[in-house]
Amino acid sequence: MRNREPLARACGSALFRTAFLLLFAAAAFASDQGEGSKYSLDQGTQFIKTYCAACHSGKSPAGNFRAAALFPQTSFHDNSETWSKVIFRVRNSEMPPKGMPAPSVDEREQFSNWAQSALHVEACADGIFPGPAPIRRLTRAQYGATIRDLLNLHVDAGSALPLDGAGGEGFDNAAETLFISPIHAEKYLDAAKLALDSAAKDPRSRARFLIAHPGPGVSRDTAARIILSEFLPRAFRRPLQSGELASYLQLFHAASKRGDSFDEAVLFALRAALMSPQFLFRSENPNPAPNMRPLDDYALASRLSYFLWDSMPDSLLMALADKGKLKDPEILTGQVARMLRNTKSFDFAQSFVEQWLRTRDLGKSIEPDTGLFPAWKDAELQGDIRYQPILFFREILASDLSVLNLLDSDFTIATRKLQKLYGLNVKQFKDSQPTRIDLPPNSNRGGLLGMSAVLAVSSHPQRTSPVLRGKWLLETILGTPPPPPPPNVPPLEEGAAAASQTVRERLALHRANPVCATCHARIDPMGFALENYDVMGKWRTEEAGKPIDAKGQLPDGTSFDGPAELKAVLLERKDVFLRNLTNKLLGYALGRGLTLQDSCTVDAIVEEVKRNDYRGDVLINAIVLSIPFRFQAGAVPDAKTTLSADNMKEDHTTPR
Amino acid sequence: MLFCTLAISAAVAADLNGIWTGQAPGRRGAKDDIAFQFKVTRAGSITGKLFGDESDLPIEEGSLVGDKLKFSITKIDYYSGAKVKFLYSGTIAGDQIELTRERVVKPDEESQSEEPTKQKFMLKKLVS
Repeated sequence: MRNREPLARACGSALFRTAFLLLFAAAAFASDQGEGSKYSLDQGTQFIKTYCAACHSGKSPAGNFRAAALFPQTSFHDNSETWSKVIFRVRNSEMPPKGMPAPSVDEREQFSNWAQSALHVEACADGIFPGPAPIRRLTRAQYGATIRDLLNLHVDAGSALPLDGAGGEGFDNAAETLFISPIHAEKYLDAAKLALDSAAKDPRSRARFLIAHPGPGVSRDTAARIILSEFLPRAFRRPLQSGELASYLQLFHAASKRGDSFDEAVLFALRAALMSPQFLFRSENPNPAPNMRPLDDYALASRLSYFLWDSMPDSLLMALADKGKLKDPEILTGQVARMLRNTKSFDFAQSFVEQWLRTRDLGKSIEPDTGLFPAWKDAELQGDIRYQPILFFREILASDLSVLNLLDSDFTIATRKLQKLYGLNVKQFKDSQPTRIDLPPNSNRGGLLGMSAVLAVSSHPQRTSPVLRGKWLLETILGTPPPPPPPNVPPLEEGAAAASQTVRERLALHRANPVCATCHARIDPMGFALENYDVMGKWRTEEAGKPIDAKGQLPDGTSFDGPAELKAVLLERKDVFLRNLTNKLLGYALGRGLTLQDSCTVDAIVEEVKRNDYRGDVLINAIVLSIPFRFQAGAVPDAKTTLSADNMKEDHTTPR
Repeated sequence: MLFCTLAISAAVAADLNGIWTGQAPGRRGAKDDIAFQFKVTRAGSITGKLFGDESDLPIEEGSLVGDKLKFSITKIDYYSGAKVKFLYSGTIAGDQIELTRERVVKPDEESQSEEPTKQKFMLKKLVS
C-alpha cells in the first residue's frame, strides 16, 4: 500500500498550488500540441543530470536537495512537493543559477510539461478527493450583498471595508487571502452600525427585520425573542445552536437595563450578531470521521449562494436545506438554473468576469489617455464597455450556450454607444439599455477579443501593445503564461523618435536581442493579430501612416492574419481554453487555490462539458455537482474510502 | 358522508403540503421563477408563504376544497409602498397545479397597467 502523505502535504503547499495551475495549464497546452507524449523518463533523468546534478549531489548538495531523488518513476508520488518546486523553478528560469549551463526555453518547457503530466497522473490514480475547505471571511462584496439581503437594505454597507487582495486562482474570494486585521474589526463595527441605523430608518427594511413590537399581549422580551429568532438563523445561514439565542437575548436585556428603548436594545443585539464570527466568516462543521462525507445542506446552500450570487442563501434554499433535500442532485441543479436566472447572478458574473479578464481596474488604475482617445471621457460609454463582457458571459449561461462563444460568436451585447464605437449598424436602439444583437458576417466583434474592455485593459494608455495583448491571451484565455521577463529589459522607445514607426517595427528591434526573442516569439504573434483594434477597441486600418500588419506566426508554424484567423486558431485549441476556464471557475466556486488533486476533478468536468457541446450551464452544474464542491474531506488524509472518477460521474445528474 | 368528505380532503391535502415551484409570466413577456410553501390544516385551510427575493409573503385567505385551491397574497410595491393584492386559484393534478393569478385592480389604476391582470401558469411539486 502506498503512502499518500507526500502528495497530500504537497497539495496543501502554497507554492505548490501556485505552481500547479500555471504548470498544468502549460502541460495541457503542450499536450494539445502533442509535445508531452514525446518526452520520456530517460530524457527527464538526463535533463536533471545535465543541469541539476552538478550542484545537487555529493556530500553537501546545494539546498540539501539531492537531484538523484528524482530519478525513479516513483519519485512523482514520493517526492511530489519537491517535483513541483523543481518544475516551477526550471520553467521560470530560476534554475539553473546564472553562470551554470542552462537549457533552452524549449528544453525547459518540454521537461516541465512532461514532469507536470506525470505528477497529474500520479495524483489522480487514487480517485477524487474533496480537498481543503478552509474557513473564510466574507469578502467586501459578499459582506455588502449579504447585508443587502439580510436587511432588505439598498445601501452598500461594505463600501468602507478594506479592499481584498487576490489569491488562489486570482480571485478575491480565495480563503488564503481573506485574513482579518485590526482595521477590519474597526470597520466592521462602523459598517454594522451604519447598516442597522439605515435599516431602522427605512420603512421597507424595518418591515423585513423588526417583525415584532411590544404592545398589548406582547412583552418586550417576547418581541425581542421573535425578532432574534427570525434574524439570527438568516444571519448565520444555519439553524441556531443551543444557547445562541439566549446569549443575544442577554445583550438585549443588558441594553434594556441601561435604559435603551426597545429599538435601541434590539439593534444593540443585532449589531453584535453582525460583528460575530458566525456572520462574518463562512465556516463548516468539521468532519471528525476518517472518510469524506457530503456537506450538510446548510453549508451546501451557503457554498451555492456565495458562488452564484455572492450573497447569503435565500429563504427557498434555506427551506430546502431545512428539509434535507438540497443535496439531491436533481434539486440542486434545478436551484442552479433558478439562481442563474435570478438578477443576483449578475454579481457573480461581474465578480468572476472582471477578475478573470482583469477588467475590474478599467477606468480606475487602467484607462486610455483621454487626450488621444477623447471618447473615453464619456462616462456612459465607459460603463457600456465595462459591462459588455459581464453581460455577454451571463447571456451564455442564461441561454445554455457554448462557452466557445467567448472565443468567437455570431452575437454580442451592445448599446447604442457601443454599436457606434464598433462601427456597426445592426439595431435601432430605443434607449441606452444593453441588448443582445446578432452580428453581421466579418464584423470582427464576436467573442471577447472584439470587446473594448479586453482590448483596452491589454493596451498601454497611449498605444496598443501586442506584447500586453499576447501575454493577456496566453495567461487569461489559454492559461499558459509566458515566463517572467529577465531583469533590466529595456522598454520600447517612445516619444517623437518612435512616432514614425509602427509598434510592430519597434518590437522587431526589441526582438533582435536574442535574450528577448525566444519568449516574444510566443507572446507577440497573437497580439499582432489584434492590431486592427486601437486602444479603445475601435477598428483601424493604419498606424503611423502605414497599413496595419495583423499577421502572426506561432513558434509551431501556425500562422494567421487578423482577429478572425486568430480566433479560428484559438478554436482549434478549444480544450486548452476550456480547461483554463474550468480551472478559473472551479477555483472561484471553491474560494481557494486549486491543488494537484483538483486537476482530477477538472478532468471530469472538462469531459462532461465536452460531451454536452461545451455548454456554459453544463460547466456550472458540473462544478456544483463535483466532489470538492459537495463533499467535505475526512480527518484522515489517506482514508481509502473515496469516490473514484467513475463514481463521481454516476453521481452526476446530466444537466438540462 | 362527513367522514368520507374529510377523508378525501385529507388525502388531497397531503398532496398539497410541501414546496412548489414554477415560472410565472413576468414583465415584457419574461418569465419569473416563483415558489410557494403550502401547509394544509385539518379544516382545509391553506397557510404557508410565497418565497420572495426580498422577503417572503404569507398566504392569506387560503382554502382547499377537493382538488381546488384558492388563496391571496398581498405585496407592497417597493417604490410606492402601495399594497397590491393578488388572488390565486387553481387545480391540483398529481404533482402539478394549474394556477391562475389575478391582480386586484383598483378603479383608478386600471388604465396604467401594461400587463394583463389575469395570468395562468403551472407549478410543480419540488419537495413534500
